[in-house]
Amino acid sequence: MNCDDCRELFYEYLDNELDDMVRQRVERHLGECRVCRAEWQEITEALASYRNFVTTVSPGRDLTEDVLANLSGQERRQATVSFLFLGVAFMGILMFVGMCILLPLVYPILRVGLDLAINNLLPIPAIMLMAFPAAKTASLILLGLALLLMTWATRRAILY
Amino acid sequence: MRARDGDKQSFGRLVQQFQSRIFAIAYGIIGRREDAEDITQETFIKAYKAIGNLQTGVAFYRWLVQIAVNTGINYKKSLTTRQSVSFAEINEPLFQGESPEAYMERRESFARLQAMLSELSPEHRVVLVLREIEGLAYDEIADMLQIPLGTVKSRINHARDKLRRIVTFKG
Repeated sequence: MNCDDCRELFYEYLDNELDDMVRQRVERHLGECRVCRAEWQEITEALASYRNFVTTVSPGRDLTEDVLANLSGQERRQATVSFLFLGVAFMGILMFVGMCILLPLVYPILRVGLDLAINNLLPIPAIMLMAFPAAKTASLILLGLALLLMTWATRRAILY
Repeated sequence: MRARDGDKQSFGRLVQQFQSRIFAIAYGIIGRREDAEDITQETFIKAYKAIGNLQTGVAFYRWLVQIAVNTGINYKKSLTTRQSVSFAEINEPLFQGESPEAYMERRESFARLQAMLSELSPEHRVVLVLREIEGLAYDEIADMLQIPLGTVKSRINHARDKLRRIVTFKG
């Protein structure tokens, strides 16, 4: 076996993938050739450094508590979301059922109340103004002043 | 397995048992202690959520490693898009009671190793860690990562070639 053949088989030798005969030839060559032996040592040394590098660093803290706390937090959040969703759904159903039952009963009363308000309360300001001409004039003047004030304020806001 | 039924205390014992090994895998992929801790934590959280789907007969640890690998690769990719964090940010090796000179030499060796590993893609780091740290066979790695056997071999050998340069440069 020459050096090139041996080098090509290094990784297979490392992984123990060679059959007995080839493995013995590699070992024999490594025993005889100083250059290949040095290269082989490079590989084993580099891999040992790598293993040392990865395995000597450990977590800065015990992660068990963190993981369990995180899981509890997530479960709480999930429970809150479920509770809110169910709450909203329940309120919606309750409102829908309530409207179905109550609206037919309440509607006539609301309707009468609305008619009363429209027919009797809305005309009151107009009746008052017709009855008191001075109030009518005063309210018109106030309205005009309010319009002037608004115009001035708008102009000032735009210009400055 | 009580942890499968959502027993958090039982699951906590599993975390305690496997956290160092999962951390080593994460560290091998990401190269920073804080990020490796995050990946380890995320791995266990994902495992807890999915443990109900774990088929009987499937080894828990092997399944956990698969989750850690996927989480690590995704984490690394998200880091790459967010910020440039790499092995180049040197973690100080733990002092192991050696002489100051030996510690300094080991520290330098760590720095060289970090620099070398930072040149490898996450995919290369994954196969390296699975082979050299976890001791998985090539076909097991190929099966776990769903990649051809030839790709596994070429990635491992490429990574080993890189590692050899550490020793070469030292000399």
